[in-house]
Amino acid sequence: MTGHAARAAVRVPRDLAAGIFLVVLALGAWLATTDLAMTEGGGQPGPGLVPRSVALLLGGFGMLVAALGLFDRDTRIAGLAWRGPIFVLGSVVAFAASIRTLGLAFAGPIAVLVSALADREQRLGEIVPYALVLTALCVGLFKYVLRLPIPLAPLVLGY
Amino acid sequence: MRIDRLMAALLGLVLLAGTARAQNYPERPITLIVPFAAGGASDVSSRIMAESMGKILGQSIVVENVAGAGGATGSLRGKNATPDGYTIGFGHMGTHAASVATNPKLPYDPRKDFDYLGVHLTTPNMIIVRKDFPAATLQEFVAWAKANGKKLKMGHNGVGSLSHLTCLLFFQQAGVEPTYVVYRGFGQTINDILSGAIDGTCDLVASVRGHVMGGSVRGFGLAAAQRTPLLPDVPTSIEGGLPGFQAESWLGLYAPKGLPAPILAKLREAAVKALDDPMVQQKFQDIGGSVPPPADRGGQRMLEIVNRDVERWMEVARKAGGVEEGK
Amino acid sequence: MELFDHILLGFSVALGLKNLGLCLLGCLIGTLIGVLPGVGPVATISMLLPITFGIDPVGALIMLAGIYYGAQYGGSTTAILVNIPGEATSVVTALDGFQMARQGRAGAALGIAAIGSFIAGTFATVLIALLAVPMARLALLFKPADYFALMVLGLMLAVVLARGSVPKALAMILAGVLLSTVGRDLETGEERLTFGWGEIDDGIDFAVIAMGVFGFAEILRNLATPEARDVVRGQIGRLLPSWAEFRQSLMPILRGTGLGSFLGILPGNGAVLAPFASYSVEKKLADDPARFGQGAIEGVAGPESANNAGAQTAFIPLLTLGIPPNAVMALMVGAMTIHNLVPGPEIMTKQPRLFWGMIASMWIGNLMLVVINLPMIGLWVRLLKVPYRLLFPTIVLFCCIGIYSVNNNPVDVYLTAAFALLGYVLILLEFEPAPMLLGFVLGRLLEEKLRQALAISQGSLWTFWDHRIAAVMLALAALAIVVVALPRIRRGREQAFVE
Repeated sequence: MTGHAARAAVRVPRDLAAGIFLVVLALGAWLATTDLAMTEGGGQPGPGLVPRSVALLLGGFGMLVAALGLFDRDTRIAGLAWRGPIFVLGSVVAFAASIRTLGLAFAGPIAVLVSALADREQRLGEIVPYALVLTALCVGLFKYVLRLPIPLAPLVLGY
Repeated sequence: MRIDRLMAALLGLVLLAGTARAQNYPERPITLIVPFAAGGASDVSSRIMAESMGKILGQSIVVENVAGAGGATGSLRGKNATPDGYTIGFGHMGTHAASVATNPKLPYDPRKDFDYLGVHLTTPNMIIVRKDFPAATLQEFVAWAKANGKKLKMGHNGVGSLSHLTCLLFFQQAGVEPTYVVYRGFGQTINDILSGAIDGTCDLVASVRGHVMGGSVRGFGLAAAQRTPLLPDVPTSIEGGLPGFQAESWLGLYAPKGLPAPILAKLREAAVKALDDPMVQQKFQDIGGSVPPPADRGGQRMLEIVNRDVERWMEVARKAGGVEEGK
Repeated sequence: MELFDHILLGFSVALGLKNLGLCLLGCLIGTLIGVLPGVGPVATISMLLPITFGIDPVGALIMLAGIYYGAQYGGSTTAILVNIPGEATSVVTALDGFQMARQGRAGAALGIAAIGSFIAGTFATVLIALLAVPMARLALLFKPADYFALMVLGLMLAVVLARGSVPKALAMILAGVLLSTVGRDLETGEERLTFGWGEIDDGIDFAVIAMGVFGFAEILRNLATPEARDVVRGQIGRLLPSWAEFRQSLMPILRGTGLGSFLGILPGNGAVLAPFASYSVEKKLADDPARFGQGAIEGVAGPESANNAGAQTAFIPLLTLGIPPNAVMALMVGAMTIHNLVPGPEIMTKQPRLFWGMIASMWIGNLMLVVINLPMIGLWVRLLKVPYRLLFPTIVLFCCIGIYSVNNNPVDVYLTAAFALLGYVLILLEFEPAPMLLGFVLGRLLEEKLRQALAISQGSLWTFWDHRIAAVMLALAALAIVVVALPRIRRGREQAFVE
């Protein structure tokens, strides 16, 4: 999120944004389930009954929350930051993308290093050896003590 | 995702170099993908086979559970695995035959996408009803069902599950439609039979054995040609007057298609040899099944069985399609 | 007296050197996987099944059982220390437990969790020894209609869980129920909200949501407000609860034990409701409910006891009737059949060594666990002093591995990232994640039981009246809405007027 958009978001009354979020969620669920029947032969609930009714209720509550938010205009969204989410979530995605192809031996340090970037106080000389030691510990723990079938280094070792 | 593709390409190159290694196969542990959660007959029988085959091949075989979508997720992973002999998979009559009929969006074709190693366990299905149900034999049960139709409440473990398919087959043979109540897993189904909320289910001998032996449910209509030594007091469907109700579930192993011939041969040999292991035979009996007769063993025969059963279940589904699906 | 003979038999079996060792091994492994986020007893027990081939059946089951209830002890550790509930049953512990940790009272939280669990375990074991068969019969009284009503009552309790705005909490419950419907419909096989992804055909894994919405979101929050995160590192505080805190927790522990013992016998994992119910009850009964959510020790003591009691009584349907009430018990069935023990109503009479040996070993296991866990509190609390810049990547890595190991599927890890983002958004918008998780956990059961009940009654809604238990539960639920919501609405309106 650029600084501009972040500043704009912070100006919106928080509960108004919360309510809109709920309505969008509800709408999304409603539209994604149009092909599900609400009832089936014999007055029985169909696959669509629970998801769609809940989506309706959720939308209703969303509107309520948004309305209540208009009465509380001064409460704003606080704590918005972009560095944390990008690097932490990025590290999880990187792990997921590399675990089966590169194995834990590589995906581990990747996850640790990328997520570490989210913190400005990080020191390179500290985090790099830490990542390697931690990965080694995890390999020992998960692969050898618990015997979980996690790929170790498919390209180098084959398993 | 670009990294994935690059890695896959590199893997392909490594594989080309690896075909020369067939003589030393296997050089490292083999993965056996089981497309179900741990604990059921599928998982347990796979672990038993893994233990035995591992000894024969000289390398350990590690079970990897990849559950989801009634077995489709794991089976898809098995289909797409590198055909180098270091990944094999488990499949049964549901995942590798009936699924073609029940799942129009099945991401694989069991008739074409796999190199089969062989069936390792068969277990017949049967009908069980609650203890105080007003019918004690198959004939009485069918008569009751015909007289009461939808008042009969049969449970099963989900659309496309072995218990569902067995029930469909049975009631098609009997010519009557009960009310189906769907549960998540056999544990919940048997609970509601014991509590009296529903009347019965059609499931594997392996699952219901304890309850029949303990007397908490009544069993009849064994869907096999002969009585099973595991439950000698349960009459077969033939004895009960419904000879068309034959439903034996089979469990087997496969490898992804494209395996180098010598490796495939080694795996098939191991899969068949394991069936002669007395430990395997005993444990299979313990869980309620038996090793297949020699005529039904081996990868070639398994392919024939797959083809035969795909046809059979497509027929069942076609007939059921005339009535509301799943009801 | 026959009972005395049985107990003697049980202890003679459980105290044998080999079985004692297996129990200890199980408890150690269980604690370890309970602590590790994502890795759960199901994965581990299935991994160790082949190893048990060579051990006699009683010993094998003692070890596997130890893993199961050991995991309950360990699961509260991560919930308290880093706000990551490892199992569905630890979500509630994270609410007040983590707050206690932030206040430097992690030792007291961990301590009361272990002590409460031990007391609960003892009571539950006695209950099993005395009342196994009647309790099993009690469970069989619940038909789908009754179960549905119980779930509805459970959802009403969720409102009590909420710390802040009621409409937002209710919205979160609904969102949770909505998430629980994702997957392939059990009855018709149709895809619901899966957007074509085969991997979530069986629904979203609880661990994925919990980790994303609790654990990762907490990390993101800490990174966004660096001043707040250092508070944890300040004081270590006591390593055990004080006498005053213990006295405060005693009644919650007893109530939690009662709730957990009862709900543990219900099939379909009804035990998961127990900690939520305990939390709500304690909050309602406390003279100062505002403390809940800020580090009230009763909010840890009650749910943890409920949790452990439920884990013990879950063995009742398995050992008396051969019905597995949850996924771990289903694994036990597998383990039993491998060892040629056929699970069914005959176990109690035909295998008394197994039945009574397991009961005795359950109590011994609980004792071992409290002996293992209490001294480790010092270790855990010291871990909190690790600089955050090193701690959070560690948590990230453990979570990634843990989630991957659940189903060996990277899609689960991607999903966790998505839920982490959702969790962060929820924090920004001041939504509480706990009601959402409760809605998720109950939603699936709720819908299944509703459809089963209506299938059985062939569409007639009168079934909820005909089934007396259901009728009573639904009436209680309606009452609960009124009792719980009214004072808050009144208070809210007063606040609005003041402004």
